[in-house]
Amino acid sequence: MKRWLMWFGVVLLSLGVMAQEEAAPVEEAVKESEEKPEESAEEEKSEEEKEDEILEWPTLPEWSEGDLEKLKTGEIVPGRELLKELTGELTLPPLPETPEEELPPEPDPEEEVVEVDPTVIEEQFLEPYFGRTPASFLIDPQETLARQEYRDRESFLAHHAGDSEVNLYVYLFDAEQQLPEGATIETVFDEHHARSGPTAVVFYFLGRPERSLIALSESIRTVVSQEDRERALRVSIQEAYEKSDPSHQLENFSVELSIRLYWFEKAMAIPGGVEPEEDEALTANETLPPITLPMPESEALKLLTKSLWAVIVVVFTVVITWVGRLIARRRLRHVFPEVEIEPMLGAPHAAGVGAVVSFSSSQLPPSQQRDQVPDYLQRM
Amino acid sequence: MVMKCPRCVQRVHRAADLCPHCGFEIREADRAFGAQEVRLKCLTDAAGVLRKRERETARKMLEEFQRKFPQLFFAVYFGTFRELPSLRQFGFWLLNRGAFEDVEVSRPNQCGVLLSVDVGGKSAGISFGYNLQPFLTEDTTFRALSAAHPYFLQEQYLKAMEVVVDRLSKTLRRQAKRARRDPELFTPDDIVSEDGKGEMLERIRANHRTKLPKL
Repeated sequence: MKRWLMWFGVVLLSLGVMAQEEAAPVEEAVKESEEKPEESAEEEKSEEEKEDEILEWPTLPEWSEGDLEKLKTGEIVPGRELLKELTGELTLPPLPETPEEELPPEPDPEEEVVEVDPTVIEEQFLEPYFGRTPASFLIDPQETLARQEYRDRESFLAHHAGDSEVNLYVYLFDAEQQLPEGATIETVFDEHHARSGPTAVVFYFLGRPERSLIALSESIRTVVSQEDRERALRVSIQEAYEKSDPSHQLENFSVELSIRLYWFEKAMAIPGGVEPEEDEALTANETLPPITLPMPESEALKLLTKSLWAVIVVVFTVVITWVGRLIARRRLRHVFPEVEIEPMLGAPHAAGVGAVVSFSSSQLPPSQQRDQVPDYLQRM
Repeated sequence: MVMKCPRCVQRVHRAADLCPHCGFEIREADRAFGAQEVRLKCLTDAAGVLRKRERETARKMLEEFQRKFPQLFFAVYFGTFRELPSLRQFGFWLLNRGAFEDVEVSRPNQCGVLLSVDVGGKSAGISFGYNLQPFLTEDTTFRALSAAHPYFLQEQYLKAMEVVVDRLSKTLRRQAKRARRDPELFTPDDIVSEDGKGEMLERIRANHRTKLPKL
């Protein structure tokens, strides 16, 4: 009974709250109801009786202004206590948080799109490239490589420097970039690397290995011929082209060049190396093909002619020898020592009895058809 | 050097007039095949198994053999012997009683090799003269005949003859080299004196001059 009463009270309370939310006080509603047309006396009577009954009930809880605020904010949910009793612990889902919309920054009308010339090295990078002695073996102020790629390549060059007497510095440029006027690999080498022992400096254009330039110390150039230096660069470029990714190309390039520098170092250890044909630093221009340089046609023709002559001479010699042996064999006469044996069995010339073989059966081998049986056991 | 009797195929001591086992001698063969000597050519195709062109080829083959071996000759006899008692005895008899017209006098029968083929009886045998006894054996001749055996079976007589001649030529070539390097290996103990050699040659030439009926 108490539960039913509580239910009733709660319903009334909810209705009251709803009425308050709609800014319609209960009192006004009561007034409206009082202002309604007259109803039957019985009905009035019954309402009076009802009011008397209501007055006998316990007083309803009163809602304060604070409760109303709490209800609005959701701290108080009507019926929560009842639902707890029915279903046990009730956990309401958390209210979704409404994230603040991140609006894209409004474009700055003053900022203009500047078209960058891919062939030009920006002013800010000239100093790191050409103005100071590099602190690491891989110089990439434009960050053409990703950080991890840079670390990998730089660590390899550092490792090479630890192993080899010849340090290898690689300046990285973008594929189409042109060196600024007055800045050459020779000037960079002379200004920053000439006094640091055997060194190789490479200007490497990422994605265009064939544009690579190399400069070597005087001590290397006096020992290693220009042809060998040229071959080293060419082979390194070829090795780079084994890969398609520019970063991997650089890896292949630097590994191969490192190997070649190792051989240069070995040549330097041998006294009396080959004199270089030119003192200038070797450069590989853009027309250097990524594959081996084709042999000049005249040289190839000469080589072919020589090979052909060698083959002809060998064949001729073999044929002459063979014919000579054939002729000699044909002319050769086989002579036996003259022996004369005393006749036997009364035969004047011959008593040599050789083998007799029958060929009557194709199933039996000759050894089983060999006639060894005395005649008197056969037909005689 | 091991000599065997053509009839009993038993070993016979050198210079024995008769076979100690069966009493065979040349006169026994004469009684079977004829006492008179016969004239024939190196290539005798009495059985008619070779075509004309094949005969030409065979003759050239035999001439080539004579060119390679200036002291020797090779003779081939194709026949059909219905009543032939023994091919071995026939070869022995023919090489002793035959006078080969197309062979130089300087090549006596002692230096001859005879391949006799009984086409009807389907058998083939090889005989050779005294001078070749140090260089040929029954085994070497058997190997030559064995190599030609498939051709004999297929009745390709020219090819069979070619194989036999070729095999024996190789054997003789090797033996000639060995004899040149070490002649004592092939020197019998009872070498006949130079005088005896002249008598034998004279006898051979006399046989060649005698005209005898063909076999």
